[in-house]
Amino acid sequence: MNEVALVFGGKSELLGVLSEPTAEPRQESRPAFLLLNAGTVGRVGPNRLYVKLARSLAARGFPVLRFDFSGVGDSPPRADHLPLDESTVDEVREAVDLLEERGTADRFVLLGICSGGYFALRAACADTRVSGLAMINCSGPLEVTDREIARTLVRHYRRIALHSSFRAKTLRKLLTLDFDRRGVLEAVRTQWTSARPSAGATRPAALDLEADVRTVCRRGVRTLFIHSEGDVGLDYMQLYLGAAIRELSGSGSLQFEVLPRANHVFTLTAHQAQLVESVGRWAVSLVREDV
Amino acid sequence: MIPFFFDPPDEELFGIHHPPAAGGARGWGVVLCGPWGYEALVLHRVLFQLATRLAASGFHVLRFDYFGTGDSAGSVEVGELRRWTRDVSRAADELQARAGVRKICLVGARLGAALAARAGAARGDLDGLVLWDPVLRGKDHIEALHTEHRRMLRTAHVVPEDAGAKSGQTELVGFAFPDRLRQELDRLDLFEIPRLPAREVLLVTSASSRSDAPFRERLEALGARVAHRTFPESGVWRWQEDLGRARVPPQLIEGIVHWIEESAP
Repeated sequence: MNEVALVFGGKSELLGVLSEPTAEPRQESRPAFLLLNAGTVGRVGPNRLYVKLARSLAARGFPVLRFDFSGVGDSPPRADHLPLDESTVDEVREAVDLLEERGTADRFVLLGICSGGYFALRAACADTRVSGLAMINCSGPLEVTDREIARTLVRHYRRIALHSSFRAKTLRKLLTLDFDRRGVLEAVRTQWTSARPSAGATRPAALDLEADVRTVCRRGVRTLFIHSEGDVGLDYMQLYLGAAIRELSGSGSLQFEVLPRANHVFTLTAHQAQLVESVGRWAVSLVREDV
Repeated sequence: MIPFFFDPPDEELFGIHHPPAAGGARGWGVVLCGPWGYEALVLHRVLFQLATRLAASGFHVLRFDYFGTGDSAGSVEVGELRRWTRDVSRAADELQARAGVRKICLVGARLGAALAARAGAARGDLDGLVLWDPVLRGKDHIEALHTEHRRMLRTAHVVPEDAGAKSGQTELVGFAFPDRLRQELDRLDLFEIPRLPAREVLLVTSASSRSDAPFRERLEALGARVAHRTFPESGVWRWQEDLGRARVPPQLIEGIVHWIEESAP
């Protein structure tokens, strides 16, 4: 595997590192992966996870570009002040253009943790060169309604306390009052008030999210959702996209996986290894299905 | 900003050169030596801002990743202090070669400060050295990392499946903690630094420590002229699951930039 440092982009100097497989014969048919920032974490990823993912995928024959969106990691902010949900789509397109011009690949898989997963979905909707999508611990759109947040948090706290691997730990926290009491109370309060008829009837963001997921699946984009058991995004997805996920999983368009005992950013190294293995298996399955 | 890899294949280090802003370069090149593990993630933005600010002030600046960390080759399982100290020196050589600067100032944060001090003592040719909350004794650092690990296990939604992860013996807050690194850290004691690391030294502490004054005295006994600044922000490198909450301490950055500007010819 070779790694090269790159600077690209028209509106900002986007900084990235391309991991290129060196195995012979060169596996030209393999798509290239693009790893999108997990929130504000730079391109090495939470706990250097993107470096591990990139090198593992490159060892399986996939070129991988990890890069920083403008204003994140080592990429300076854009001068045009484009909103985040537009600038990220624009910058993914620039990264895809770059790899296409270099002759690295002509098909692309977008992978992102947290908000990176959501931006990957938006970019996949906008670019038909994207043939695969991995959304990891995605908590949904950037802006969701108060009611969506409250329902998600209530479900999350209930699941964590009663139906998760963290039950014993949560019980200890409850007994010692070692938890975010304000957060729990706020979630319950907001759910109560937003359920009243007088509450603002803002359109749930999940409707657009579901439409986007259906769009890419219809287009044949292979889609993978991975959620840690401790991640609040798991509750959002199951609450608001549960039916769609079951339907699309049944038709083979979408794969949904839960990694037990893990948190949002995969802090324990065993969970990092499980994630790398899951993504690697899925990546290889993409190529097998193509053949 | 110019990102690049340097050093031999399979052992390549990743670096980013921040050339000085238009208007001419100052006499010193500045190499930033970051911390290790989760502290490197938390302080990444701070070092980015510091590099940008120094480059705007006319300095050639190099940030880089130690072997097995960040974008550099290797995995942290092969990380060792001796090698990382050598990496600091290689980065300084690289900046001298790329930018044509002769005089070098190292800025180290936390464990990076200890590595910078060791590299300075080994080289004997540094012009300036900034030590931001240096790890003075490795034993204390290991204990602090264990405290953070326990806090993470208590607060995060994780259930460790093996004893090493549970005790912090094999990993600490997201990163493998290999035996060799543990042994080296255990022996690390900056008070035993054998030679003068640099003639001009800035000691920056953001949290009061009883070791600050004795360490300053030790540097002065070796012949250094030491300036000591304290800043109100403390513990900005502490672990947070949401790195979006990591703080950038502007006073601390300005304090370091100001000292380098005054010290550089």
